[in-house]
Amino acid sequence: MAKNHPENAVLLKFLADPPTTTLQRLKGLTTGSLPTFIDAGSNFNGDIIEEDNLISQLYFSGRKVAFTGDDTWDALFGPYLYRNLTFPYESLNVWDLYSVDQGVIDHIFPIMKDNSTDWDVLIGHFLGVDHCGHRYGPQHYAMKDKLHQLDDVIRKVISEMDDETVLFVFGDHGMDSTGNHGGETQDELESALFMYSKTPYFGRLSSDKYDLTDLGANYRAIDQIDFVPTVAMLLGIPIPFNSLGSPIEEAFIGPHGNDAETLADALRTTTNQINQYRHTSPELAADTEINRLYSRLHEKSTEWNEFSSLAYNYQEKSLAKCKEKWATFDDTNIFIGIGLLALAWTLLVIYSKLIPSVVVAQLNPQFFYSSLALILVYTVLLASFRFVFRPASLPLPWALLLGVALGIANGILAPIMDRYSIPWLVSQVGENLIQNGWTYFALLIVAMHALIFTSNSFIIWEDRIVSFWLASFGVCAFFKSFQLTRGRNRLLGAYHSLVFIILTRLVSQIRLCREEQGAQCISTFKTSPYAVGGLFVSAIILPWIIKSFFSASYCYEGSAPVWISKGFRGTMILTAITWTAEFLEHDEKLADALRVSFGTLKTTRMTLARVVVGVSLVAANFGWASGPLCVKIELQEEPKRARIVGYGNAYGSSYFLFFINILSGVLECSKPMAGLSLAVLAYQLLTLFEIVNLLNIRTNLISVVVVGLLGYLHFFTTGHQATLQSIHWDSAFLLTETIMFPLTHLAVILDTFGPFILTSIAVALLTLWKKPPASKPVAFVSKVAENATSLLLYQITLTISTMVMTNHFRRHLMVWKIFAPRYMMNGLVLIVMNLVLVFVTIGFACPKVLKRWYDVFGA
Amino acid sequence: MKKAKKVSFSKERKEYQPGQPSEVVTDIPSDSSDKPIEDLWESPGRNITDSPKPSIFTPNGSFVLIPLHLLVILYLEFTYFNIQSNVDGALLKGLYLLASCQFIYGILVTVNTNRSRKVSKKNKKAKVSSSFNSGDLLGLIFALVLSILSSIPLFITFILFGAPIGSYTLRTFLLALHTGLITVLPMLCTYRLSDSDFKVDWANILTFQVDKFYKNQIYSMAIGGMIGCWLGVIPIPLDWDRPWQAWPITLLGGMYLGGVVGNAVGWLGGKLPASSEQVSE
Repeated sequence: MAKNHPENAVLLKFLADPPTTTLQRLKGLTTGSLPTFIDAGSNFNGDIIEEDNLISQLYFSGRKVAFTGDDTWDALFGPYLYRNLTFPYESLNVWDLYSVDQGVIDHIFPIMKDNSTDWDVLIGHFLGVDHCGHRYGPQHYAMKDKLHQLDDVIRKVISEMDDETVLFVFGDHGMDSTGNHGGETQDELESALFMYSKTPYFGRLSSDKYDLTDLGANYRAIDQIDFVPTVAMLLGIPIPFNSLGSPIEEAFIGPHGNDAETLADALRTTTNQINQYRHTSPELAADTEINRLYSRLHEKSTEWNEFSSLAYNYQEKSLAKCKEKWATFDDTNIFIGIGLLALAWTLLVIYSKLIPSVVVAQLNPQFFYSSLALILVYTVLLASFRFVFRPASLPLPWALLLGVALGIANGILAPIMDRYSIPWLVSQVGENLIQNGWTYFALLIVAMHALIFTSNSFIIWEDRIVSFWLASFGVCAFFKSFQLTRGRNRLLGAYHSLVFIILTRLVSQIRLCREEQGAQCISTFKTSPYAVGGLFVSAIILPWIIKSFFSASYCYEGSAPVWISKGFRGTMILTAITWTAEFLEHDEKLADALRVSFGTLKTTRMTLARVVVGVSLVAANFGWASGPLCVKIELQEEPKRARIVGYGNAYGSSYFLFFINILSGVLECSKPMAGLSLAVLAYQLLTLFEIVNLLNIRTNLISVVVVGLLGYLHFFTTGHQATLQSIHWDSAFLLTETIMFPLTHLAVILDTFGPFILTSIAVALLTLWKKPPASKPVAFVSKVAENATSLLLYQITLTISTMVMTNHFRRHLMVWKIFAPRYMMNGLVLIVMNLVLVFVTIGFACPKVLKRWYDVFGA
Repeated sequence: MKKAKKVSFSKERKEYQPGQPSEVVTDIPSDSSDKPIEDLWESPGRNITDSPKPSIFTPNGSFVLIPLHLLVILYLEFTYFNIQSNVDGALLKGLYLLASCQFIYGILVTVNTNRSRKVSKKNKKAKVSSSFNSGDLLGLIFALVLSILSSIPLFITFILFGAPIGSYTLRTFLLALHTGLITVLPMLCTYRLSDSDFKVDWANILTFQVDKFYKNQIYSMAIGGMIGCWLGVIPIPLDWDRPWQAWPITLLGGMYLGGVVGNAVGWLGGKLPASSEQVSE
């Protein structure tokens, strides 16, 4: 149509500004300004747009905006829409391809026909193609149906619209090869804009701009924000204040392409508006280069064509400058944040590594009271500081929180400094922290891990780097085992190390490549029949492996057989069935062949998923809390003695049952390939515990670092990357059909941070595995706490490093693409680890195990 | 299967092992021995493998043994063989050159070893020739064959460390051959098959239990080569788009340089006076 009736229709490439998430695109398309990055997270709960935008301008100039489709619009522009003709539909359920689109179709034609005088602008937002991409990817035949449906709709709209209406058809973003979006690859940024009017209106630039060769790589592209001034001027309303776009030439040069005056007029309006906007921001207004361009415009205002090209030049340059300067940084708060984290790091080192644990136990009440007192002092101090100086970057709530943080830090430091001097603490570093060669190796890895954030290339390849380090550990452990004195231990150590290396290598073959890895990486993270089959196989094998580890330490007794071979295997099989149903749901042809209906599959899947998660996270933990021990008591008649079988690993075996509970919950929420990876994680952890036990590096930093690295390795091998678009949003709908507070969020968190949660829980087993019960269980708790804080220290080190490096590279080309997402991930991982370690590992599970043994056997 | 075997193995030994008991016999009421808490935990500095390292024969250091030919070969790889444009071909050509050079180097090492043995075993009046005889030649050829065979475990190690599976197999294998020739061959010339304590020596070498490694020129060369190779992976991910970042050029370079540096360290370490030795003990 654009070819045959060039004056009626135009088709252009439509470029989005990243991030390509729906909410940000809607904001961009209506306000014409650039999105700020952090908005991406609020994709799911948009609030009413406060900035000046097209819809509010329409509303204030008395136009009526009818709307039907994605309810994000309703959230953003609710008060400005014409309520009588607004039909929003639930939008975030990505597995629903039809209801929104059907709703739009049901309403759009009646509105066009029957109420044609009631509205001035009609918006219909279809979601089917987007959801289809998320769910099936662009190559699926469902996509074909969807596109055909939309094609029919557009044809029908064109045939029914009147002569005075302009039709704009556009996509707010593209999709990558997996059908997802959110990032800034070319595939995600590109979509199309189609403009149509029955009255001849549109012109054309020189024909070489519409180059269709090479799949349209050089075809004329316009920015999404250009849409805003264009529509505003076509409708005769003021351009929104923040708009940075330029008018689309084709819409103003007239059907013959020579109406230079109209175009110049439009450009003058836009240029003035942009200039006005620029002068509200001191940083932008001070840019002399752009200002000179603007004043030159006024000198040459006679020749239309020349004026136009100058005006475009001005707008382009000004946009480029804005993009460059767009992100603003709050230096004060950045440095406060880095400082606080560094303070926390120092505190943890002193608290957990330098002072003897006996002293810590004595000092704990003191810490509490002094913290309480100092919190009061600091909050009052900072609040008054806030009221006296009124610093712009420190609002009252932040000031109070900062006071609390400083108060706690000082409150803990005060009693310590009361007892010890700084030189003494420094002298302890050498004594307590460094144990042997392993510690140096661990410190080397931590240092290297912190240093990889200095380069975007290393961040991109972090998945490979992590597995390389783990292999290095395995090889060192392998050779170190041969130095053991007992022949049997030598073999066992070598065998477990070898298994550890091989498992690491195998599992690192599962990968979801990030876009920057390019041709060097081939994604293997796909839901294939093999992966689903693998889930069944792992359901058989993994419990058997765990059983053999338990038997090796004689603790496959008591509740262990029920827990491992029945319970765990059962949930694993149910998980496998869930994912089989999910797989069939995706593959409609296969489902049809098997004569299973979509509804049955969905119900089965969701019921099973809820059952498994409920059983493993709630019921099993209640059961566990009431006390299974993996021991058997054999009574001997002569002499009268009792043998406790499984005594040697009493704590470890019982604690591992708890690990299994969480593991089966996480498994349910992980995709099939991720499930396989996590099964390997369990095996790797068990071998690691054996190695740690044999080499006697329980309290050594290296074992904690390896546990931390395993968390990272499996974060990557469960199909994640440190990017926003790699978050598995679809896992949100595993447990529920629509977004529902705890379940949806739980599924996403378990899927994304599962490996970190599991390793944070498993870190206690470094201490507990194969240790016989002691008369003073407190010693165990303090050792577990020490390892837990080591893990936390490792993560804090990484977080500080990313904070510093991201801040350092904040004008770097890759900052939003690579550094910032990695920084956000580090922050989130730190929070998750903190919560799990404090409330689950040390707060719940570990004391429970120790106490139970104490209750039953007294020692 | 291996697992099951282990289990039965441990069942045979039912004695109490401090540190890792598998089964404990306890009385009713269970024993309330008041062990001090610290006893349960190894003291931080203690290492269970702290037994004195077995001493193995250390050959005399010699400036002649610094493998400067490796630097030449590495230079030729980049200039004459043009490894940056034709990786496989250059690796192969370099391998021929390296093999012949290492053969000659092997003769040097053998002679040096003979000489050192003669000195060290003088008291025992063992009959060791200080020159290079036909038996040594046979040993050298055998060492060459063995070091070529050692490329198989080395290749597997590379794969386990993350070398690509399925692609670049030839390159990885050629790298393993280079590694074998540089690290294993000189070692086999020093600790020879014909030696009476060959087994013990190699068991210690393979488990890295070598006393005063910084004085052992040949051993530190092998270690240096390995470490260089390990460090050689660092530049690969960087986005500099240089041809030398291709797999496995950086590892090769790291290994050659690491070998030379390690060897030089061993040579310098051998020159350390005995007094500083005691300080470092």
